[in-house]
Amino acid sequence: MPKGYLGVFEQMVLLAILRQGDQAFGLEVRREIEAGANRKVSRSAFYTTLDRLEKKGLVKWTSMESENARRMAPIRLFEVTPDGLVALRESRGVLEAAWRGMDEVVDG
Amino acid sequence: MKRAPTPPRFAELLLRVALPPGVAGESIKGDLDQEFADYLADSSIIRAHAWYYLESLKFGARYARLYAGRSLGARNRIKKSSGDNIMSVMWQDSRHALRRLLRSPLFSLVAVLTLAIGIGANTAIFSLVNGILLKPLPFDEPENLVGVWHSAPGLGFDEVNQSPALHYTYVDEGRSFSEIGMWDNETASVTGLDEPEEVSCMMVTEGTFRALRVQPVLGRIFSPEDDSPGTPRTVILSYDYWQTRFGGDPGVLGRTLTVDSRPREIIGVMGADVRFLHYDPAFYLPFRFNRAELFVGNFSYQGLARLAPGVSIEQANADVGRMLPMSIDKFPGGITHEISESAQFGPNLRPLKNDVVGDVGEVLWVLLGTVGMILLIACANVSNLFLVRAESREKEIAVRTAMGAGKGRIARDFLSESLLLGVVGGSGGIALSYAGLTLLRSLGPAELPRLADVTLDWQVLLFTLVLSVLSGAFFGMFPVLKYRRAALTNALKEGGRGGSAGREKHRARNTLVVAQIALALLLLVGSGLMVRSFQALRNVDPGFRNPEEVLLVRLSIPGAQVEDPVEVTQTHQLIAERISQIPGVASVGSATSVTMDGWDSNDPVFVEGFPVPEGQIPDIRRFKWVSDGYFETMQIPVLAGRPLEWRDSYELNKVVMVTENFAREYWNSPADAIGKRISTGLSAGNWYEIVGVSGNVRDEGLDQEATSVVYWPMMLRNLWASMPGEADEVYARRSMNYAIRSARAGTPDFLTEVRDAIWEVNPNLPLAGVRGLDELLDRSMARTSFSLIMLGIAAGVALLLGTIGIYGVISYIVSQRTRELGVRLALGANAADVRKMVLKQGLILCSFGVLFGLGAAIGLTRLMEALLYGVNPTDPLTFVAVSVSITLVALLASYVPAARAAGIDPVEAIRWEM
Repeated sequence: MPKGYLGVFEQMVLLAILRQGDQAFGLEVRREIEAGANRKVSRSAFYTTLDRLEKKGLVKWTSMESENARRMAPIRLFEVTPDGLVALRESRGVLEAAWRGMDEVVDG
Repeated sequence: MKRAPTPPRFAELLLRVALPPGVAGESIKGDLDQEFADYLADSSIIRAHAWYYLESLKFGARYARLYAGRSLGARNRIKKSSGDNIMSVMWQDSRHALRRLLRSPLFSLVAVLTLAIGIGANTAIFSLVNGILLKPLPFDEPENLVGVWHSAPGLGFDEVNQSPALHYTYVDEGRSFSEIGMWDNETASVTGLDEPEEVSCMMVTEGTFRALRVQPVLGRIFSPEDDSPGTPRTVILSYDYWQTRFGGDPGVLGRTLTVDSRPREIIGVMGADVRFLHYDPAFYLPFRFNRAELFVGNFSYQGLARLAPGVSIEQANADVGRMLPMSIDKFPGGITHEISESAQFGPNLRPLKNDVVGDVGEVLWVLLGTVGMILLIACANVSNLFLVRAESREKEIAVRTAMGAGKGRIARDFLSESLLLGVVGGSGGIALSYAGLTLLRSLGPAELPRLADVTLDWQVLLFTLVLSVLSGAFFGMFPVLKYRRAALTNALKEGGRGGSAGREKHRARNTLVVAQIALALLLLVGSGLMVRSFQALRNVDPGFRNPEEVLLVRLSIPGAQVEDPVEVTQTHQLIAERISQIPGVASVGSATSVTMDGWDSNDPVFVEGFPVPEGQIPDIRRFKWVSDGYFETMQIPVLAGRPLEWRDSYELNKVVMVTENFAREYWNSPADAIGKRISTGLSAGNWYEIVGVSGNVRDEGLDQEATSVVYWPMMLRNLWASMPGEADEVYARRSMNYAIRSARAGTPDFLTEVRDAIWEVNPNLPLAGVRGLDELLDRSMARTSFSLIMLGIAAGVALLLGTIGIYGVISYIVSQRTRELGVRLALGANAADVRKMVLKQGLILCSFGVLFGLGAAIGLTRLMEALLYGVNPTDPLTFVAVSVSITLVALLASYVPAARAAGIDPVEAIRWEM
């Protein structure tokens, strides 16, 4: 059972994986985050975050061959685990609770 | 096919180290590679490389932090249980050192850059020394491989090659070799694949591959049958040739390759990593000697052998010495016992590596010494910076000491900083040397053999690490030694800036500057001597003129295509005439070997009227066979008589030409030689009349004496008809190197027209060795220009670092003496006096440096004597010129701080120190 609140970037990574579905390869996920957040995402930060999420059991991956004939290295298809979904839900709950009644204050 | 650009290899290496192992890391690198390819699509290769480097560095930094964090956690756990731990202390020290260094970024940057240059130069040159000189040859048990050479001091030859008769004697009678081989590099024309082509190939005896212990990837190596006359002809392909011409077809065995118009069965393919010494032949052919026709002579082959287990080179030499007389009885008809004795014919085996490496060792060791000095200068510079920095920290150190910090603790601070700088500088050095080696490999200088073996492998990296740590320890020691003795309480009492700029204080720094200047002078003298050698070489007359207008093309007419010698000569004449009709061609001529092209054939020459004592052979001369127009085209002057013409070949006239030095050896002037007669072979008798004398030619290269040459008509009766196995028949030279003089030489269109002209006469003739005559000239100067460039760069860097050094010290002294100088100025000293005083200080340092440097140079330049030409290692002009220029540079470097000193405002200076 995952505990604690996920960082914003971790949430973005998990959501981007879900959004990409069966196309959730490393490159595609990073580009999805960049497009959604409209900012550059550091490659090294991105991959180390994936490592961390994997270690926590929130994502898993399977290795595949690329369809691109020129690509020699394998590609990884990422997937959010059930624990990952739970963690996302919890994080959303925490955030929603924190926001409750604050909209007026923040928006002025 | 053009290959898509790949990511920079050094960055890839970095990534491999940084990324997690296995699929995870591979896929991350894969992603990055794919983005690299995308990036390339709309950007330049340089930008894409820079981008890739940057990304790999980011990965490296990120993962290094992760690992460090993990090991930090581990350390903390250890600490709890077992107290202090050496690793954790080191870790902490380097973290503190890093923090301190980052506080003075300019100092750190300059120090790291200086070290990176010094260490990088050493890494690069050491990787050359390691790859070329130190690494064993890429064969099994390479220490047992020897080159089979002989010597004949009686004839003035230190090195005599292998002869087939000797080879078979050693095969039959040898006791000290486990395998023995003989080889020779040749060219052959291949037809029937694409366009006809002339490629380099290797002739070998069947034992050669066994001696080297190389195995084919397909098929088999040559058997004794393949290497015997009268059996089906066979060929073994090199891996590259198999890939490029047969597309790596695994069914290539049994197919036919037409070599020199004769079909040969492909029986094997060599492995990709098999390199035949420093040659890269397209394929291998067996010699197929007929043993019945051999005699001791014809020393134009290369021998190699594998020593039997436990046999030393000395023992093998003794064994060869035993067999030499046997060979004369076994294969009679050549050298006799008397000739062998008077020539003092003897064995001269040596490690096979010597044959591969050649004489490049001298250059490389001199270079390694040179870059070693650069590193010393760099270290001296950083030491100076370090001392200056340490002095500015005097007060801090005094306070810490007063509060109880031990001397060891403070020494550790200095050393951890200097070691960290050393290691970071070393990493920069590795990057620099990697870039340098990549550049060098792309230039591929002919001077350097075994370039493929030159890599940044673990030996080189270890060398760099040791060098970095030693450098760090070296300049870290200066402040440590200084503060071990110094009474630091003074620093506290004085309350800051050293008011007493005592002699003691500057001694270390002055010594360093003197050493720097001395070293810079030494290197400048070295490169100055190379400049003088280069000039001297440029002034040497090669024998021919205006080489930039001459295109060379080698054409060989195989016997299987044209058998009749007269027809061969006619074909050559037709080709020459057809080429001379090309617009812009001034003249055409050909020779079996053009001056300096490296092909040589040498035999003894008898001169009528100068008898040789019984049983001795006269001096050996270089033989060349030439066509009509050769001298005119090469612009080699004909000093007397006439050049050889076509009719001399067709009429089989018994006429020759000789060079001026040959003529003068026997007669007073070239004109006196005309009408005299010479003969070759093992005894005099077959006389040829000298009809012309040409100017001298430097056939061995500009730095060698002019070679004594005999020019024969390209078709004549067999000169060796009296030897066994030789018939008295007419012989035409089939392989001729064409010289074509035209102002259009060197343009691609011109070459196409020449090729078309040749193929109009015979469409099956491949063009080989296409190049300009000026290339041969440049190649002859390659070693000198390579040494000149390398030493020039080294000396330039040394001078730059030395100048920075002297400037730094003088400025520092001025800043330390601001108060004193201010007082002087206030008391009425004028600005010029102050300026002179400071300049004098610079001059004194420089004089000591020059003095020591000259002393060292006189002792050390002798080591580079082998690289010099036409200049003495203690050439006074070079020594004086370098001393004067280095003094001027030192004065200039001192002038800036001197001018500043003279401009001191006394009021400001005194107030500043209050």
